[in-house]
Amino acid sequence: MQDLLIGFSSVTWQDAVMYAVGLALIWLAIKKQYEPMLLLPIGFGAILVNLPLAVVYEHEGTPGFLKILLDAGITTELFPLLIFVAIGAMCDFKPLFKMPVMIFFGAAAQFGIFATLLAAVALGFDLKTAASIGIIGAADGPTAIYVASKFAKDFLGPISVAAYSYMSLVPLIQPPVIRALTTRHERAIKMEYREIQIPKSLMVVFPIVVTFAAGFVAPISVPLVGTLMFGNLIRESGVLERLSKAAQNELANIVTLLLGITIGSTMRSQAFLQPATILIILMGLVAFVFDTAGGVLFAKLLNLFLKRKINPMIGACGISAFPMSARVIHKMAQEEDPFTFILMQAVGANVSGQVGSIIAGGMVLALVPLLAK
Amino acid sequence: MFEQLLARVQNGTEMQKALFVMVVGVLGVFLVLAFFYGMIHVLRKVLKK
Repeated sequence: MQDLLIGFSSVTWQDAVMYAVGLALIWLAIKKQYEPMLLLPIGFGAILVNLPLAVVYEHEGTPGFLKILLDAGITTELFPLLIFVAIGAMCDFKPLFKMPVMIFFGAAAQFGIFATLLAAVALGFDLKTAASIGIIGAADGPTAIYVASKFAKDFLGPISVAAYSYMSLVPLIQPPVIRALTTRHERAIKMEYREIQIPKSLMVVFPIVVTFAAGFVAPISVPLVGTLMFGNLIRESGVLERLSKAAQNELANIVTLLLGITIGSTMRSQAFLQPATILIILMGLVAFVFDTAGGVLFAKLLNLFLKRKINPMIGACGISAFPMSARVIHKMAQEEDPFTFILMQAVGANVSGQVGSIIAGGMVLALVPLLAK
Repeated sequence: MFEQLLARVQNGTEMQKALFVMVVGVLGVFLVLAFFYGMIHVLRKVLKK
């Protein structure tokens, strides 16, 4: 009789909490539409893996389908890299080529990654875990997963959930930080935009040159940069339309589906329910705040030397959350002055953020192993 | 000089290591993206011709 009721008798209160967490993520995905493509599969995966006996993960020494997916797709880093191919195929770097100066905002807005790393070490995390927490500030899910799967496998669940949750909360996180750091006059600054023609050959050559540059400067970043640029080359080559569409749609959808539920499988109650999880989720928010502040303050610094002032809100678009951040900032500018039109500049900075986040990820991957015990 | 600094940091506290990653990381991101900035300018000029 006891064997028949084992499903009921083996449930712990920790499992029940995880069902609530999973249901909360599903609710956020459906009701609030916060990154539903990721949060819904993650939430369902979290429920599956905490059901009695965890048969989907491992039972009596036999791996379940989620463990097989975890070993094949996350431990090998395959899933995040395939997502990069898809993102590369979706990326249009034209706004960046038209205003190359915007690339510096893609660097400034990565400040949150490193500031949060420092804060996490101050809170007692070891360097590798702190780096994985800081990388939430990349505002780039696949980079966060890639770095966490290398440095802090035990915290992959909370780091992924934090990264995707805060990305969807950009419209709520960025405006108060920007308002606190800028005046009304600064937010209404108008910026000139000149439409220029970009040679097609530049769009083809760019991903190839960037891949070579990454390969020679930071070889460890090549999986990240190389897959992104491969996807982009497929798009820009103009001769692989079918493959480009497949990368943007079928590949992106299938890998996202598997990635989400597999990340959910890392949220087993014994690993997830610990004080560190709450700290990680809070630190993720800190990372996004520092990113935004870093970008805005860098733009204000540049304004001290420039004749034609930059709207400092553009700095906040240097994060990788594309195109959400650009839209939020443009909307804020229009609220201050309906004649302030900064969408193109914001998109340029936002595209730069996508490049900046993987370069920052590459830096973390290159530097931390030199120092961590 | 960088190697000497690195060796000192390797024997330092976790906080010193984190500070090192922060400073070198931020500078590194700026340097790489500055290189891309220059490269875009050069490519734009070269490929226009």
